[in-house]
Amino acid sequence: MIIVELDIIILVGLLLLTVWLAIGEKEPRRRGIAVAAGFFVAAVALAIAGARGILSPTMATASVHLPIAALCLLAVFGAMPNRDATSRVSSALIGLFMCHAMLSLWPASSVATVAWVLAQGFTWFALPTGPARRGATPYLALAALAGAAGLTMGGPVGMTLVLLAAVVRTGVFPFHTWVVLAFEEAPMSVAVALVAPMPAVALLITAPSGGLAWLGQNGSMQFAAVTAFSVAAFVPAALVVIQKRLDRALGLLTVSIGTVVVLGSIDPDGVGHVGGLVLWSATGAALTGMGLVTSAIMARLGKVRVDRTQGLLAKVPAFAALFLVFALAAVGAPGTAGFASEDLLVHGELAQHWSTLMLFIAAMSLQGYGALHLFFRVFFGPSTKRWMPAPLKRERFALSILAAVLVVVGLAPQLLIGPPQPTPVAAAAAHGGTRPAQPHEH
Amino acid sequence: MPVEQLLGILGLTALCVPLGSTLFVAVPWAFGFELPERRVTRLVGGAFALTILACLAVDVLLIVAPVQHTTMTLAHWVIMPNYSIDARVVFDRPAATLMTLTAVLCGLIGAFSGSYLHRDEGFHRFFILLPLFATGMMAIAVADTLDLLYAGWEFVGLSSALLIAYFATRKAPVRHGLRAFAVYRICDVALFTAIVLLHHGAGDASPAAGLRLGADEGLVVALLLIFASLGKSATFPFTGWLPRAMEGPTPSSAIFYGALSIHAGPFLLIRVSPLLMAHPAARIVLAVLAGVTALHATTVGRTQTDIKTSLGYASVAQVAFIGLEIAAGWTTLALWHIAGHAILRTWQLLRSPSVLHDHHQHVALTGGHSEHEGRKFWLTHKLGRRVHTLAIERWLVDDMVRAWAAAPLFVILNLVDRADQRWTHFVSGAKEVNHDHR
Repeated sequence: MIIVELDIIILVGLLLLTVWLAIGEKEPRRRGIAVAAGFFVAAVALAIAGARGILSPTMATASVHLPIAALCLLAVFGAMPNRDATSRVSSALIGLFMCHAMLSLWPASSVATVAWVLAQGFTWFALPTGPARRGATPYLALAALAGAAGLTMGGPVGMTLVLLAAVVRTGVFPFHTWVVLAFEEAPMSVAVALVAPMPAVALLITAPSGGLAWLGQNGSMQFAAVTAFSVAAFVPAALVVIQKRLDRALGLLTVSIGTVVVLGSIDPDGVGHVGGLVLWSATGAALTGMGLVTSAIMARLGKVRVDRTQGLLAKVPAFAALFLVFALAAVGAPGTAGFASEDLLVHGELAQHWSTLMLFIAAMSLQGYGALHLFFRVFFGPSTKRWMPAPLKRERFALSILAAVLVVVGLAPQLLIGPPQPTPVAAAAAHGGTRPAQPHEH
Repeated sequence: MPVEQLLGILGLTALCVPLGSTLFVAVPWAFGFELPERRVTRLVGGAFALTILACLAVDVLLIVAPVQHTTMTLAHWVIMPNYSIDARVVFDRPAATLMTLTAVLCGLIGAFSGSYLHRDEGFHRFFILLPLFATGMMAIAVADTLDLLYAGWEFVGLSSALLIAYFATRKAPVRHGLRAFAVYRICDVALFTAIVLLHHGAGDASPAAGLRLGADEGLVVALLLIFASLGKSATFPFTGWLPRAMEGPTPSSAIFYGALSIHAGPFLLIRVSPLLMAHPAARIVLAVLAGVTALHATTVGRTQTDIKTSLGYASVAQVAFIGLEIAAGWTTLALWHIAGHAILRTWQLLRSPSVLHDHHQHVALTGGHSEHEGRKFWLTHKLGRRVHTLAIERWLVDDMVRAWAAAPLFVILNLVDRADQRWTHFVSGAKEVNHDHR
């Protein structure tokens, strides 16, 4: 009963907020603050619900998606430039969040089908008219149709369609065009809010289990899928280093990281699957952070080129430090949440195909290089700009929360995975002890 | 208190105290509140003093206590029903040697840099990255699983790239920092793959786990680990990044490319030496690579015209000899070689800004007769000149890598990107398509 009451309160409250914002408030600053406050309340409510066991705080279910999505969107609205927080964007993003909630709370039902289709509609609506929306239309339509058909049909064919929908919605190469266009043409904070939470992963993990079992049972098919995803992660990661503009480069990096997350979420192996889910949460927050720092810089300087250095370090060291933390978290550096998840991911089903494994690890390695490449190009080198406003308080606040979450979860990834259940191996290791000396010690 | 527990506390201190000092300096710096220089040097110096004490205590315990080889789990990082990632550490002679070396040399470099980098624009950045690097080296030293070693490995690579680009307002250091990081990432692929194969084939990624693998799989893992060590130790064909890395400030060059970072690769190989011993083919590969590197670095280093590059190649030559020692199975000698070489090279590199002054003093003291002129080698005059010319050009290794590996890759990437942008143009109807590529 409590579940229903809490969910209804949250959803109705957000709906009212959406309506009020859409038709009432005209002043962007107040609208941004109100929406951020609404998401903050939602995030707190969901966290309380998770702590009380109403929603599972672990990765065993998809419910962790809700607080993560709320956190990302809170950060988006906290750090979004006022001019981007229009009524259209605000209401579309709130609608998208509600669809995420419905997908997680009522999976494998007609509600999920409707929510999935609506989510694509809200995504389309949030994009600005012009090339971004035109380019996204066929992709989002394909994602909506494939997802709706797959959820309705069920079974192996249905789940394959759901996988196709997830691949298109996440922008897995070669279906990445709409994502990169959104990063290039839409306001950066809007593009990040649409892409970084990766709602398609929620669809994959909450869909009826066993639907993708054929993928795990058929060895050659599984090998082909892993190879295809590895190539799909590798190509955009490699393209990052030859880009001229930061927005396009960031779009390609997001596409590459999203591909890794989708592969993890369909991994039939328990370890790899959990790795994919932790990576989903970690990269969702990290990519949001990267996008928001970029958005803040672009709000001050316009389009930023990365074919030459920009030298912004001395002007905005806070943005430099935050960008570095987010970039490292997004690519799985030690000390951030991404490290444990990538480790788990490659120790799962991928380890079965070690010839493909190297390509996959190379893709992840390239992502790391690409992220640092962008950092160096934006913040190092001779400065070309004379003056740049310092970060605003709300930008510092929102981005610091995100960075702190990523570091805390990175140091203690078990927070996301759930309560530890000691295994014989771990228990034996826990006792420490001595072992015989090895040859090299003599 | 049991010896194992005491070792655990001391090891944790050595690992965490430098990281703590990094955070103490980094967090205020990132938010625009720079701590005064004196406070920074005292904070970092105090942290290193504590670390040195902890390391010395570990040394004493390992010497006097009956247990000379102790493993323990500091923390269970990730626990799942059939899988776990543990922060498992080992305290033995190799670990104690590298820990003490790291703590002492980083402490000395910190003390030296307080005045060397006084009022420098990147002062705070240096004192954020130096303890971070020390944490990475400590993790490499004490890691009993390659998972933990990999975490330290990444910290070392990241801090190295960021310190090469220390003079951030110049273009060349930025370019060279990225180049070094690219080499690290290429070799990291091999290390990560080896870790996964160890987990999958042997059940865990401890250095000794490789012995439980089958013959073929064991050989593959051994070769991957050798490849992984090539990047950080600047072994052939990855030597080219090292002279460029000297763009960083002298203290960081000393600690990274003279003392510690460059020895991370050999230390990894010492850790997995049982696996190498079990696979003679891997030892032959290591010996051949080390031999080629020693020849290459010796000839190149003797023809360079600036002191830091010359010392850099001299370091590579010594590291290659250490590789030969490991290939021969003389791991204890290799460990001594690492310690001696690190200390000597740190002193030489820290002294390098005064090399002309030292040289003039040396010449004056010896009455102008100290220079060895016209030393004859067994090469003929013509061949000698050719070798000399090629050595100055570093045997064209960088040019060959650029022409045969990097250039074709960039051509392919540009073609793919151009096709992608054309498709984007078609789908979106956007008028402007960016065809301008590098």
